[in-house]
Amino acid sequence: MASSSSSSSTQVKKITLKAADGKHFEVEEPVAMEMETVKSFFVGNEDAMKDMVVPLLNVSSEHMPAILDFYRNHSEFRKRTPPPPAEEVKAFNEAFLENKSDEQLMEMIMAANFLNTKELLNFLTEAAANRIKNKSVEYVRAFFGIENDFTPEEEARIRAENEWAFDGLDED
Amino acid sequence: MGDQNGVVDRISELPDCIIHHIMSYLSQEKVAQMSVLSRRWNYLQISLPILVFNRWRKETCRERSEEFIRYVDASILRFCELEVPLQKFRLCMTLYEVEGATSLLDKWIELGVAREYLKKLLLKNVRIDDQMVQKFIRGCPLLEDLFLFPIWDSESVCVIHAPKLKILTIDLSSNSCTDDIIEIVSPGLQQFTIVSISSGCVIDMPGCYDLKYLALSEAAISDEEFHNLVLKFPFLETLILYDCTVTKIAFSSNRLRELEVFNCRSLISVDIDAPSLLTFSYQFISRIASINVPRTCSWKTRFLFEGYRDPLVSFHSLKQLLEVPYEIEELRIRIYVKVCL
Repeated sequence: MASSSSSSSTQVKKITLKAADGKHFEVEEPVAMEMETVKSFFVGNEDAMKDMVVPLLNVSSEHMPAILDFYRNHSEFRKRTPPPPAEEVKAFNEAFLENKSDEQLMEMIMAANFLNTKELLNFLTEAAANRIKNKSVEYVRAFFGIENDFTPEEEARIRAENEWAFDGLDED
Repeated sequence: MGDQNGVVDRISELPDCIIHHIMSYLSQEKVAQMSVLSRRWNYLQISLPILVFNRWRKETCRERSEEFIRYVDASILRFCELEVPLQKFRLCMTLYEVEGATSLLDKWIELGVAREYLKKLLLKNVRIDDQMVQKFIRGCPLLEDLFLFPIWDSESVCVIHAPKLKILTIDLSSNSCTDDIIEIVSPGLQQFTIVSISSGCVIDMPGCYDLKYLALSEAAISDEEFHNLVLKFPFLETLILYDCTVTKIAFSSNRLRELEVFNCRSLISVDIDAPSLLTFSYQFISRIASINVPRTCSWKTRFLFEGYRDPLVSFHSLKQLLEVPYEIEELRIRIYVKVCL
């Protein structure tokens, strides 16, 4: 990514992002450009770059600080030579997910999908998969808030078709 | 769940591709279980473009095996009816205990494989013959990466004619017959790796002029065969020899950048005229070969010191290695000794 900012001043150029609930976030340009959605907003529109506010319709301000923190840290991990030890990345990722409810995780997945950043999306979807890995059908329904629209007969039939998959499951 | 109005169906906001993304991190069992969640999830499970079936390690009863086979069969058929692109198809299982399973397997491979957009195909421990290989390749005109680990029943002639193929790996270590003839006609081929070539095996690669990477592993190959093969590839940049029977490596190349020679016990000399060579990786056991490579390249060496064999030879080789007039970037020495108490 060519930096057009370095010539004008020593200060890192900032881009203003507007979360779904209207709150503004001033973000360093390279961090903002981690998001494909923000990047594509400026493509072919370089003149207007400076003071334009980028609306992020699907991202609530509640999650913005954490998401920006993820981009900042992971872009630093990528740039570092030698690459950071796996434990350091793991520790950051674990701390990132700590205290995040299932609800919050889902909202962040929606945000990452909207922002179109592969790294964050992969990370969050894998985290969601880990949370349901060994859980029962009922648990998974509650986790995703799924309403069971099968009749008991239909459910029993589908369950029978997949009987092999239900061996050794924790009923939790 | 009782709160009818308050419950937000969180996931219903998530697009199908995100749910498929989450599913892609889960085991086949978990994904199969998800079909009972709801109608939408049942469809999402059926349409997951990653078909992975793995049942070869588990010790399970016959009944379960049959059930699993029915599941695989139903899943593949249902998926194929949707006519959506398949991203990944993986089938690993032992089938011998179930009657009629081999014909099912043929059908599945055909359904899974005969897809015109397939780019990567790995066939491992599959009993195939030349005609089947031909059939698969014809069905996949975009195939770029082919990995064959076949079990051939009899002497086999295998012709691989794939115009878009870039990477080819053939592992013959499960083969009992020794007189394979492999003909590769793929003008775009960039990388070729072959494992376990017996002395009767013939490899013919007419027209693969563009090859940049060649790796020979566990190859019983004569000096003449080796040089005839290498000279066919004027653009070769990487050459790897692992556990081969060659005694002399001598050729010149303007393009070669990387040469790796590992554990070739019969090797006596390496004499390479390759001005572009950047690295020479050399691993040897006990006895060092006489080596002449361009001065400018850096060496990465590994020395397996088998002290119990003939310590004097090993010491002498180590001394010789340390005296070479090259820049050694990396030297690893592993010492094996027999302890007598």
